[in-house]
Amino acid sequence: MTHQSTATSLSYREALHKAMHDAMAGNPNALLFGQGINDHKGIFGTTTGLADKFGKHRLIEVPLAEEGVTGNCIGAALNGAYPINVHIRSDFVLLAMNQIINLAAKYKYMFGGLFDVPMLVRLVIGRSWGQGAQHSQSLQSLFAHIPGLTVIMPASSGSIVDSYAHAVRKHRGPVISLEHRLMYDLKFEPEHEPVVLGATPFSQRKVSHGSDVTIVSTSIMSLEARRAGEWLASRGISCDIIDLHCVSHIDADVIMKSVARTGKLLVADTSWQPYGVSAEVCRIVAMRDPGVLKAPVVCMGMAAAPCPTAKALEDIYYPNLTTLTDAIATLVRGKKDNGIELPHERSMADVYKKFKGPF
Amino acid sequence: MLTAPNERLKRLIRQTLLIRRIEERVIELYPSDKIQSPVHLSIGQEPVAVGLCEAMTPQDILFTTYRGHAYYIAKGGTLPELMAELYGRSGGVSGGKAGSMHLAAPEVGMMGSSAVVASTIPHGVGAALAAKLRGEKQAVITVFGDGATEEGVYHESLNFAVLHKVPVLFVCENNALAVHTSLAERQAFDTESHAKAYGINTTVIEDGNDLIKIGDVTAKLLASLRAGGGPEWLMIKTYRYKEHVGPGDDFDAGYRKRADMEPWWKSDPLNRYADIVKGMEAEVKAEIDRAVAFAEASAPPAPEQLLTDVE
Amino acid sequence: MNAVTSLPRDVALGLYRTLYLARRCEEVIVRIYPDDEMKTPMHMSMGQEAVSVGICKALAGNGDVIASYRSHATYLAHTEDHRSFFGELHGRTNGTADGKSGSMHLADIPKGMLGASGIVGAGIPVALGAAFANKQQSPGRVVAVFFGDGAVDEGAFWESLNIACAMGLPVMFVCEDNDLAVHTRVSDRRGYSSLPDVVRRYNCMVLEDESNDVEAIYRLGRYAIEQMMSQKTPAFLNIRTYRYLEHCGTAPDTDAPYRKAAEDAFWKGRDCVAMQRKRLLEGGVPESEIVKMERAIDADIEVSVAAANQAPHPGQDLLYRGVFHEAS
Ligand SMILES: Cc1ncc(C[n+]2csc(CCOP(=O)(O)OP(=O)(O)O)c2C)c(N)n1
Ligand SMILES: Cc1ncc(C[n+]2csc(CCOP(=O)(O)OP(=O)(O)O)c2C)c(N)n1
Ligand SMILES: [Mg+2]
Ligand SMILES: [Mg+2]
Repeated sequence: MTHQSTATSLSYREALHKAMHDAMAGNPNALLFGQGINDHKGIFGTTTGLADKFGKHRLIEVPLAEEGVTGNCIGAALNGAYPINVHIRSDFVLLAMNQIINLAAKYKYMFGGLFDVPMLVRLVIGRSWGQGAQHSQSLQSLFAHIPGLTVIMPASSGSIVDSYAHAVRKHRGPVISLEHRLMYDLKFEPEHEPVVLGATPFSQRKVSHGSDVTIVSTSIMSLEARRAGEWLASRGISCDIIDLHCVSHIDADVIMKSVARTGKLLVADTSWQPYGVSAEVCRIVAMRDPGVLKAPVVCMGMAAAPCPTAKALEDIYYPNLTTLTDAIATLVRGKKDNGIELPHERSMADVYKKFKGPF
Repeated sequence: MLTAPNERLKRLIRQTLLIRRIEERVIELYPSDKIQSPVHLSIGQEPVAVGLCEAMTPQDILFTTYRGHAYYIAKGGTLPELMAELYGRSGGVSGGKAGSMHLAAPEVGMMGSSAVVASTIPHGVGAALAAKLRGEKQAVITVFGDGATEEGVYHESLNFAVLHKVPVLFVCENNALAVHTSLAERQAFDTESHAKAYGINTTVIEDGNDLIKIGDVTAKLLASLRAGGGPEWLMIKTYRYKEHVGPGDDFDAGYRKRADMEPWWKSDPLNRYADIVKGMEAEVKAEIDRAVAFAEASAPPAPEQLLTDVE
Repeated sequence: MNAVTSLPRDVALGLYRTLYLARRCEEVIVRIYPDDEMKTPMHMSMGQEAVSVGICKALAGNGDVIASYRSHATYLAHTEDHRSFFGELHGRTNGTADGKSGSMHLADIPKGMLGASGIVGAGIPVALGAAFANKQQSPGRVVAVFFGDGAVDEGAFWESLNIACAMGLPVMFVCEDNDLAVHTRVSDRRGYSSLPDVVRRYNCMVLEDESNDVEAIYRLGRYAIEQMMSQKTPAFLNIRTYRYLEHCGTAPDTDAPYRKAAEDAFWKGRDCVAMQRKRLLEGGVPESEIVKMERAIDADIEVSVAAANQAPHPGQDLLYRGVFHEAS
């Protein structure tokens, strides 16, 4: 059974606003906690106006106290509320790791199933334009490592709307969602929504069908993969692209089925490679059936350093359309000198400021 | 000065006795290695839990610490399930997955206990916020040790509770020790006047052995919470007889003296009311025997349990 | 504010010089930011410079400093090095960190500017460590740690305050209280009414200033250092001030809903740079001397900007340099 997306034409930002609105409207016990949620900027416009409609007793402007506030959310969840806690940069949640890892993730198991901790933590990955080492991290693997947490990385408006509704209405445990700042202004048309490959909105998604190479990607890298795939399609290379979405719960069959067909695998994640999503996808293939691979796996992600601010370095810190396309072509053709013309794009950030979709 | 024993006092003494004797049974059983769980005994501190919980209704909820046996029992948790939990058996309150440090009984408002110092303080505040939003007359107590007040999250929680006037009672169970370190070595501030400076109403009970007083004061504070008066702060001074963790005595360890215990031993309700206690011993023992028998008979959790309730 | 300075002429002039430098550097940033050569989020100090200048000068060369991400004034007051400053903001190899750190992490370890962090409150515990080292290795040397009123809401502040007081560390907590964390007022974030009153419950000296006057802050800093040395306690300084520009970025946002016109007028009426300039004039310093100094600073800043624009961009070889465990 596959889940059908209910998306309409919305920007990522609008989708987030709708998701927040629907959560508050649909559950009188839903609460939204965050620094700046009720100010005139409203978390990049994703919470604007909600306090007027639902009241400041439910939209709770909080002090800078990430650990305390996360603990407040857990306590509220234990006492019948559905808390949503938003951090304008994912980096700031590092102050709350005790509550998330030691408490929220374990509150069910540690007490033998006596409690549920239904809550949603929204984290925004900052990127580009000198965000630097402490405002740009992509921390999915830290969370996905921990049993008890469900970690999603919505890569489209439909994915936001459906996944957040699922989190609020159905899921009974803590969900960590990593949103990507560069996607906020992108509009997603329903026909470009990837197809959900499982029974719930948390399932993996198929971005495009192809036969030459499997690309497993996360968040904005799924958009990049689609762009690279479109470029390569007219040059004779066909990509099978899987948007991982729920990085903590990967359907190994989805990946294996694809790799068995293509024989080649490229993982494009928004974060560092060691111990991360790239490593995890490789683990799955290596443990399931490494024999399906006809070439070594290629992984793309951030350089193994803190993020530098200088544009000259930031541009080579992240993969971009050119390096991604090159990597795919090299993998498929089996050689560096593969004769495939490459798109020229120095920085992804420049593009996304203007980029209006599709997808 | 305690008044002549009445029914109420007897009830409180009995509960204190039950906790004392069950923990003593834990000490007895410990060498057998049937209880493979680090135990932070409350022996000496039981009246604090008994008095606090007496004032709570079943709807009121409690968050506490790894030193939680007393709270579990005082809040109404069942004995056989406690013992089975300590034994790591399937009949335990959490099927053997919690052990001594994570006791809970949500049906009676015991909302959990954590081994990470101070980590349940914000839970009490958040739960109280939820209670306030629902407009319920539910009060929340969050208990923590004196050491926990050094953690940043205590300060964050205090601030949030005052800012949002939530119905939570902060209870500092002050045994003047964090493991083996004295208050003076750790704290450059006076916790009570500090809390007062937040605009929170503070109360200190010097004699943590005074069951009646603890019960009465708590009842008054909880009434104020339910009336919408905002958070309250209560410190109860008390004394831990046993080592920080484990079944032993450690007066020879050098960080404290046996003489420190004297005044507490004297005011210990189980000593003061030794006559009453005597009459209760047999029944209490029988109750504990039944709990131990239940634990002994309970099966270890099945291997399938390893991966249940992860999410 | 005292109309006439009670400080030696060179000290009063020195304070103004540094105030002017910090202000002017940021005015230049405002001018050239739209050129998009400085691709780094800026948290501007403008309006608040007296805090950094007063305190850094009070350290008199015998102190270390840790700043928040709103670090321009602190960095400039402590180091006066606008060459590296502009180099860093331009992301060039002549910057404080080869252009890798941008506006939020300015540092100059040899000069005792031990860094700045984009994580609110993160510098506070680090300052305790530095103070601990000073206590052992450089008696008499203090650490001043700057942070905003928002940082006080973080548990790390309270943990640090307790530890510093319990250990009697020579650390000066300097709260730059602009009443705002981004757009949120202190009253919407704190349940208690007086921070100094809470801090007084610690074994700590507590001092306050609401003047935005660099000389008052300087004197307060000097007094705090003397007392810290004799009493062997840390000091906590709550210094009220006012941010002129938006939280992040170089534009004024006087019309934003969180702003209050009367408050804006009040603080701009006690602009720290203007106040000190006026005081110098009233104290008999010829305007021509002041103007000459100002023009020299202006010209020198333009040199820094030009140097930054001409400095090389960091190359690929620098991408991995400085990660602690470097492949050989
Ligand atoms: C965050 C954290 N730090 C350290 C420990 C180790 N530890 C366990 S109990 C304890 C002392 C806590 O003292 P207090 O809060 O006074 O509680 P008490 O044990 O006296 O009841 C410490 C340091 C821990 N469990 N959690
Ligand atoms: C731990 C953390 N939480 C949140 C943020 C986002 N943030 C950046 S600055 C700021 C406000 C801080 O206010 P304050 O400490 O008063 O400093 P000011 O900006 O007024 O100088 C916030 C919330 C952050 N950088 N770090
Ligand atoms: Mg203690
Ligand atoms: Mg501020």
